[in-house]
Amino acid sequence: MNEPEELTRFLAELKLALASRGRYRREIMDEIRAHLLDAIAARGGEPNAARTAIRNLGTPHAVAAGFNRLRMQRMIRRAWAAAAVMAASSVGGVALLTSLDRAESRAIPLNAQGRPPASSGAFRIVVVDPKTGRVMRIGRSR
Amino acid sequence: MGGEPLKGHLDMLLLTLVGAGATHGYAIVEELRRASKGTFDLPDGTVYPALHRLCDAGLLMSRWSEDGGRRRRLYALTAKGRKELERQREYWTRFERGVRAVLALRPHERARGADEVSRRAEARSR
Repeated sequence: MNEPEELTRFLAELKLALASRGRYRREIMDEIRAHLLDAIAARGGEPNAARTAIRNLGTPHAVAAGFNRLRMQRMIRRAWAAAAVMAASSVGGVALLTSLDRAESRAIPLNAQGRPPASSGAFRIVVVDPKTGRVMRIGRSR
Repeated sequence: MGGEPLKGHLDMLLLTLVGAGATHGYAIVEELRRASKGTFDLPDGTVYPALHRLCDAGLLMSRWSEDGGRRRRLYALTAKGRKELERQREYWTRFERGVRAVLALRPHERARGADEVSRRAEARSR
C-alpha cells in the first residue's frame, strides 16, 4: 500500500520530535506507522481517512512527548543504578528500594553503617552484595 | 471521556485488553473504544508510551511480526502482569462496591446521617 502524503509528513515530524535515537526510535516509528496504516485501512475508501487517523492519534509533538517522558524515566533509573554500583564498591553493599506500589525501583548506596538512608515513603528494602549478587537482607522501611 | 479521569486506571484497562486478546496497538485502542461503548476515547498516541512502560515493568512482553510488509509490535501478558491485573481488579471491585453503596443512600438516609454528625458535634462542644 502506498503511504499517503499526510502520513509521510506526520512521521517526518514525529522523527524530529523524538528525543530517542537509533534502534528505539526506528521501532517507535514502525509502530506508529503500522497504527496509522491500520487506522486508514479500517476506514476503507473514506476520502479523509488519513487525516482522521492522524487527528485521532494526536499531534507529532504530543505523541513524541509521551515517549520522551518515558525515556527520561529510564535514564533516571539507570543513573541511580550506576550511582549505587559505584558507591557499593566502597561500602560493601547496594540497597535496592522497591516501592510497595511497584511503580519504580531505585538503587541507592548504603551509608557508612551499611544501612539504607531514612526514607519518608514505605519501601521494600533488598540488600544485594554487588560482587556475588546474593541477597543479604530483605525488610521494609515501615 | 478523555485522559484525565482515566489516568489512574489506564494500566488496568490496557492489561485487561491485552489479556482479552487485543495484541497490537491499533487493536487495543479500538477495543478500548468499543468495549467501553465510546466512554473512553483518548488520543490514540497516549496508549503506546503506556504499553512500553508496562513492558519496562515486566507486566507485558512484546515481539515484532511482519505482515504484508508491515511491521507490527504484538503484546502479551506476562505471569507478573496476570498477577498484577488480578490485584488491580480486586482493588477496583472493592472500590466500586464502596462508591455504589454510598451513592445508593436515599435522601432521608443521607439527612439522618448528617443530623447524627451535627448532634455528636454539639455534644462534644458542651
